[in-house]
Amino acid sequence: MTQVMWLVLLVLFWLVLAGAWSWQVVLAAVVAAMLVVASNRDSLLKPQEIPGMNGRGLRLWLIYVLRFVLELFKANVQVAKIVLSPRLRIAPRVIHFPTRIQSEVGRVVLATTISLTPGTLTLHVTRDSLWVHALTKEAADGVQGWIMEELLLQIEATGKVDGGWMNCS
Amino acid sequence: MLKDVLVVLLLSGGTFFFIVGTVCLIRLPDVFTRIHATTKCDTLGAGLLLLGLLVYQGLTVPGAKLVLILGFLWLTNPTGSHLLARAVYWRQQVPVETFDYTKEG
Repeated sequence: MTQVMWLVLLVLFWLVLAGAWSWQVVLAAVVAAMLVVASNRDSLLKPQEIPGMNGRGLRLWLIYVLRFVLELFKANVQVAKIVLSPRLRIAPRVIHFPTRIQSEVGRVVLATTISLTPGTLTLHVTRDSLWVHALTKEAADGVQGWIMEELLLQIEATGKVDGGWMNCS
Repeated sequence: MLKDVLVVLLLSGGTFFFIVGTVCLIRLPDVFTRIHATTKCDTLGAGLLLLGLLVYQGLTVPGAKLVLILGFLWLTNPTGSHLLARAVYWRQQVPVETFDYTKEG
């Protein structure tokens, strides 16, 4: 099931990149996708490992992406202001704070979001906490109890999550 | 005409954030803050540039490729910066002031 899903995804990806769709291209796509899937059989991401794979969850994922673009914009303008001001008002610091997100995918998404947002950078992720480097005190305060983490918790709450650290001990 | 104006605005915005990123790289003091500079301003800079190209291109197959480029950029960029920062942090080559909020309550 998982392998078929990845096969279809990879073939579609190949076809988009190829641009021209003759039967040779499709054949090459299928062969290449099968090779990739076969050689990575054990490490493919399973759909049930992704939280929020249901109607409400997908709606929340959409809100998550839109909200992320907004946060990205806000933070970028803030960092640009700090850096372009004649006096560099930065106070770099490392913070360590707990997170209640259970699924691995959820924590990866949160860490990636933190890294992508200007002013914060994920240093390390463990089962229940994150180390984050922040450029200013405001950025450090803002990243704890962040709206994006709340959204991820809501997404996880929409269904049972497989592959979380709670049920793998 | 309106499309051209929008494209020019988006491209200028992207270029502006790239300039900010470069200024960051020169002005900021240490490894971590410089990683902030290069990765951050590039996300919105590259995002706006690609969005501008997408508006210019329209919803075609090359347009889909642009979206893919943006997606992979936003995946690889934090992965790379995270690995760099983590390596430097655990080797403690740069003194970092640690505020442990879990202990302060």
